[in-house]
Amino acid sequence: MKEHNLQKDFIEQITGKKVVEKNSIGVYKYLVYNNFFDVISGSYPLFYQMVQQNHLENEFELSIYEFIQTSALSPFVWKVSNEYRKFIKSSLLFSSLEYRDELLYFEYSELYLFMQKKSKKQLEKFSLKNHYRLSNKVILQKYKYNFLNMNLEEKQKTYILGYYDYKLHEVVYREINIYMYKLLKSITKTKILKENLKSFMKNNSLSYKQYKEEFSIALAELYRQKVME
Amino acid sequence: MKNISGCGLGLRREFFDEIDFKKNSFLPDWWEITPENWIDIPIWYQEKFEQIANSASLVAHGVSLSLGANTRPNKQYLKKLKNLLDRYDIKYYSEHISYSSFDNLQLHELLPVPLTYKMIDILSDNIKYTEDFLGRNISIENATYYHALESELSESDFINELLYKSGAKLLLDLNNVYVNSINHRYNAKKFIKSLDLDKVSYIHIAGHYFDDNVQILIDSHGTKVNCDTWELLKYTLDKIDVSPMIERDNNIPQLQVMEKEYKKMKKIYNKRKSCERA
Repeated sequence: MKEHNLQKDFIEQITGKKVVEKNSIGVYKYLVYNNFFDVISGSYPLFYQMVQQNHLENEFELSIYEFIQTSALSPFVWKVSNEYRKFIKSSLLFSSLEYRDELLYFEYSELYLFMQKKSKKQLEKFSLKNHYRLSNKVILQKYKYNFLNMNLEEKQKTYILGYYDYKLHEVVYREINIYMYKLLKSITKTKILKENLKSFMKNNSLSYKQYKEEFSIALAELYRQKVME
Repeated sequence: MKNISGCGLGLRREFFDEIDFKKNSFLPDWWEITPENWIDIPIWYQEKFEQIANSASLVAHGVSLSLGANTRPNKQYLKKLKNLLDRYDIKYYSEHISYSSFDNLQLHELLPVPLTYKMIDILSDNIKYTEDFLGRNISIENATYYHALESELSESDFINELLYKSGAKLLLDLNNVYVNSINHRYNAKKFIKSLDLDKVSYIHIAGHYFDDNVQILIDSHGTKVNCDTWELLKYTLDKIDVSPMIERDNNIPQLQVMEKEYKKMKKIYNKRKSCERA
């Protein structure tokens, strides 16, 4: 169909697949690129900072054009950043940045946490005799680099718990130790919390009596933050 | 659209802190929302949006349905849209005479359609499909264009024919008329006069800027409404009795700044209404 051929040719020009034939078409190329640039660099400020520090601006521009040509599928602008992240992960772009995928995920997680539906569950009294699980509105992640202090010079294993703090009205990231990371990963609702704790400590050669109170206090606080439900 | 009266304002998250129901802060007669921004709402805004939606009339104006695309409007998106419209009892929904996706790739920019008879058929089919899905009649907005793909008809003939064929109402964007009239060198008032004004559901006004890089006016919705657009509003309201609203999508100022522009619009609107009564 003539109309679709015209539109297709136009799209190929404004997305950089073909050379722009007229200035008036170039206006759209300029507008589309800038829209995507603003959304992506705004969603990933730390990543873009690294792009600039490593003089990879040309690669960044190329990544946006390749992304627009193949992988921008959602009608929702807020979903562009995750689509871009996945696109980069499956590409060879920015391969000189070893932390590429982790940093993009770390930054995307803030948007993910912001966009969760508000938890309406009422808090009850915390008890080791109750059943709990990690909320699906949190992100518990292990990273090879420490993105909280942006030390990208050397690898440093970090365990991060991210959640939306309803009192501060912001996304909070907490660096936790490996035991808390493993514990939160292992908690299942099929058992009461006390049983969860017991088997976790046994598996990690920790004394239940010695650490029970320490973990209980931390878990009670996380329950109040709706990290566990 | 006739039973929405008064003037509207685009609802933006940036206004939320200033909207205080206890303090009787400024509220427009109705809000226009961009559904893409409210189908998924960040946690921080969820409660306030519920309050606002339950206390004022809402009109929805979409940007990514892509009525002029080579594929049907996205069914999953339409489902979400319908849920939003039903949940908040939003009767009026509008989109653009444009497309923003092609082969399912999203460009997030309103692109110009070829002004051909076949394109009228494509748009009409998609409008009817959307209306059936949503259970609502929709309005379509005259869009800005910086490039003409192909023209078998003039822009106004194309719009009039499309309105006739699809049965849709026209959301008349006066800023778009102004921007197009400067970029493509035609008379804005003559253009407005040539449209089927009986089919206008409501009016948009907004701001634009001159882009030094591309040397044309860009419909940015990021500046205050200019004098010429105000003049076009007066001109149009002298001809038809419909509600106007202000769109501001970029460089969003405080609500109190928008309130000033809103009051200016309301004054023009009320003057028109009082002339009519006299």
